[in-house]
Amino acid sequence: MVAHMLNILFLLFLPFLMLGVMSRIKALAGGRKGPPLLQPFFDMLKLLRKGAVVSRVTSWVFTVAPSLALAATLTALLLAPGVGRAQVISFDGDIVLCLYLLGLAKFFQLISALDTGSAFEGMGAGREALFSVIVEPSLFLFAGTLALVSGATSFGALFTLAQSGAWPAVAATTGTLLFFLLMLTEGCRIPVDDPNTHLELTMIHEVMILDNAGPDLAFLQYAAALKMYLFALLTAALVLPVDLSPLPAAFALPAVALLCAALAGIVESLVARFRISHVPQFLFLTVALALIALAASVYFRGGVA
Amino acid sequence: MTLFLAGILTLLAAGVFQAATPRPARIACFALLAVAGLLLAGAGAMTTLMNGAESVLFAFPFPLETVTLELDALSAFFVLVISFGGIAGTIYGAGYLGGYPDRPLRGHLFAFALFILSMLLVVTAREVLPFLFAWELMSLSSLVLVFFDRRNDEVRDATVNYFVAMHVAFALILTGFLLFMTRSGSGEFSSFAAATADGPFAETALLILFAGFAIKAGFIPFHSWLPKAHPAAPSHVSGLMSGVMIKTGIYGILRFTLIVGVPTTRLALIVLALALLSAVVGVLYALAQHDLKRLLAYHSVENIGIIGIGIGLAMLGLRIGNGPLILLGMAGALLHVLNHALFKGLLFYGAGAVYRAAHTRDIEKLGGLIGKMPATAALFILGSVAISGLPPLNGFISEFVLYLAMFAGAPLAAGAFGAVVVLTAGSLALTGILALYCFTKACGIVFLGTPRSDAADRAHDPGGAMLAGMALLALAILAVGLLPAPFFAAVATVAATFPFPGDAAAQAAPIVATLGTVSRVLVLFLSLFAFLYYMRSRLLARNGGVAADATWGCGYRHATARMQYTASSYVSPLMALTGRLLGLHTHLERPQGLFPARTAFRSHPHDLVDAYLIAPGAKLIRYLFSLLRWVQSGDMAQYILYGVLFLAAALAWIMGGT
Repeated sequence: MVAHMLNILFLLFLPFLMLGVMSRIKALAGGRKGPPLLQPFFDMLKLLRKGAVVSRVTSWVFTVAPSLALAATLTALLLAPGVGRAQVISFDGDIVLCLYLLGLAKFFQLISALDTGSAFEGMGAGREALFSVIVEPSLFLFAGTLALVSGATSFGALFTLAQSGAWPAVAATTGTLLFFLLMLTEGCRIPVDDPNTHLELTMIHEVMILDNAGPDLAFLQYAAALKMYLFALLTAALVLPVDLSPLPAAFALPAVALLCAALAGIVESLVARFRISHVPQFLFLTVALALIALAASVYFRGGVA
Repeated sequence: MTLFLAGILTLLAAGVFQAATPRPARIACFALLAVAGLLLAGAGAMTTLMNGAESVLFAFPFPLETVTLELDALSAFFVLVISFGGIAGTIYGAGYLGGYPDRPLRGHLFAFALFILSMLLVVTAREVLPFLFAWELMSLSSLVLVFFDRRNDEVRDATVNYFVAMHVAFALILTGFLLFMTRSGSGEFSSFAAATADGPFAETALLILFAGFAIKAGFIPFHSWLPKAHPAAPSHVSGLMSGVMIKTGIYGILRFTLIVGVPTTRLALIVLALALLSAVVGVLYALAQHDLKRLLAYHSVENIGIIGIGIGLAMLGLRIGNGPLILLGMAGALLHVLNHALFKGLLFYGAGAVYRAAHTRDIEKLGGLIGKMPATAALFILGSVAISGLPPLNGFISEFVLYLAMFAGAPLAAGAFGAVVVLTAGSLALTGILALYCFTKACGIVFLGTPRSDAADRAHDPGGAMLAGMALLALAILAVGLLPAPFFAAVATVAATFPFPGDAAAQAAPIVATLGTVSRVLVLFLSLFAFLYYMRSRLLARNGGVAADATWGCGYRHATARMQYTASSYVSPLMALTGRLLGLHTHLERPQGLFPARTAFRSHPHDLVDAYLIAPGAKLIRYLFSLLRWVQSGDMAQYILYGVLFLAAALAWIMGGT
């Protein structure tokens, strides 16, 4: 029960804190002091107090999409493994519902971008859709591989690796890398996308929400941060020891999440953004990682029959 | 069974009586009787699903001798799908045909009745001859239906193509049956199990049989007819063909898997491989299309692939004795048969409404229809979410069951089979996300933004009957999506008729419970959405409301409809990666000089199977027949010589005989 309450509490703050850590690290690397760590949270509160200007072209799709996307993302996060791999809701195949709820959020964000009739937003939507096409199968391949080895079908159990041995080492390595790449992609960070760019033509996620304002914009940004947090959660579930007692587990989870954010911040400080036409090549890395994990699992299960 | 027979007779009566009814009331008379007949047939199937198999035997003189119609769990399930799809199609069709007041429609309605009737017979026939008779009736009646707009060249080509494809399928199925009959010595399907004593023989016969069924179902590379015939047919027919008719191919594959029992590993892997190919390549082709109905037709190929994945997994499970793969793979496939009938019907009917209103199927000429035809738009978006396999609608449920099959089945599969199952899961995920990409394109470009042509600007919602047909399907989509447990329990009983190791009911029970949890989570999600939407509206009202203005265009305020993103540009990032694999032809006129007058970009999707398999094949056949052209010289003397030669040969043969 305490774990569930902690999980929900973390959902409300950690995603913003991760964003705060990222921008703080970038600021430090650039020789600046940077905004407060919880600045993204204050930004959201401010947006909630604002009105909105909405395009005349848009329809009800544009109106419902932000709330729908946030509701789907929040529900998906309730299914994800949190403190001590405890899920607020868990059942067989919960991982499928979790990922498909994120798909539903994506569906409405894409058509809401097209609803504005803006070529910029259409462009962003097309790119975002392509990136998902490449990364989505890698997630399912990796989850399938974990299921193949563990025999589990529920999120938390799926990510419970054995304490020692060759396979857990391979799975933890490939998985951590995979989730980090997915965090950068789905979180729209450098080198895939640049959240700070000011040119519509080069934006991806930002351009899709150009016409959103006020509470709607707040919802969309919270949903985006939550998605990034999801991949931090998956990393934590994969690397944290199984036999962690509750109290250290409660601290280990935010530590892993903030570490992921710090790493992303370091990457952003060091690496330039890829040319958009080169991003797919980069993203195929995720598929490669998942296939490596799959091949390793077959090898360690006792070879090819 | 009595109910089912009464339904069939009522359906036949609908086809006959409408011809005698005066034209104004003809459609209504037909629709009433047909819906009544389908309700009866559906009720009959429902009682069978609850009480167990029933059969009825008719005795006929030579050559049919006996005709057995049987409703077992598998048949009853397909009868239910056909009846429900048929009811929605009839109601929608009644509205759609209202747009042709100057056509008598006698033949069309009669063929429509025969079409549904023959599908019901196909799934209940139990002997070779009646089955083939019903099968051919189904092909021919649908041919008449496709050939509705007979003055259109494209329709004529598609009809010929369809005619040929259906008869190649027929020939393959006939060959398969004959091979089985050489071993069983009987035309009764149940006797075919005797052929399994000879493994390789049975495998060959099954492969030939499955190839025939695969043409009907539209598996790649047997799909060539499908993306031509579906757009050519009027929409109430396309919806039925795509949603229901191609499933008879699936039924054939399932029926003979059930009869022959455990398939060979090779057969299972072939089915699985073709299914994966159909799913992924089908949706990639769909993404490249500009024609709304052709796009939907390629999605039928994709969905047949998803159904095939379930069947392939179940066949593999039968081979290696893997319970979850058999039960959940088969249940997922069957559930997807139902789900696809629902959402594909809805989408085709929506596309028909769009075509009716805007007189074009070209996506690039549409746009902004959500303001002109709000009901159609909402229904089409609902169907799109469903076909993309997203919660909280029905497409998600069948894909969820398939993933469960793979996640639970993989650990029990030895060695490389486990990896095959995991790779299948990855491919299903790829198919799902590509479908999402494709349907955001279809919804976004057709219904959202601003109208790209005058025709789209003048569009309006269709009348009551068409909307009612669509709404019926939409309700079913919501029902399966939000209350999946009873639907799964029903298909699980059908799946349990396959040779299952252990207690199928005991294995299905926890899944029913899981689906109960899924629907509770979906309700939680919907309540959360309602709450957030309410909060957002309250906040906006408190913060000073919403101001309306132009879409952001970097400060430019006079954007026109032509400046919007197009469907081709929306998918261009993907086409840059896969276009060459798909045979996408592009043509670019670059801007020239300092003040360019014109630039142009065109892209034409080409089906590689058409280009490299069908076209050369047809050329070869034409060449071979051209070698025999001298036989038909038109010279009377030559024909008399043929006669004389024939008589001489006959005489020689008779004399040699005695």
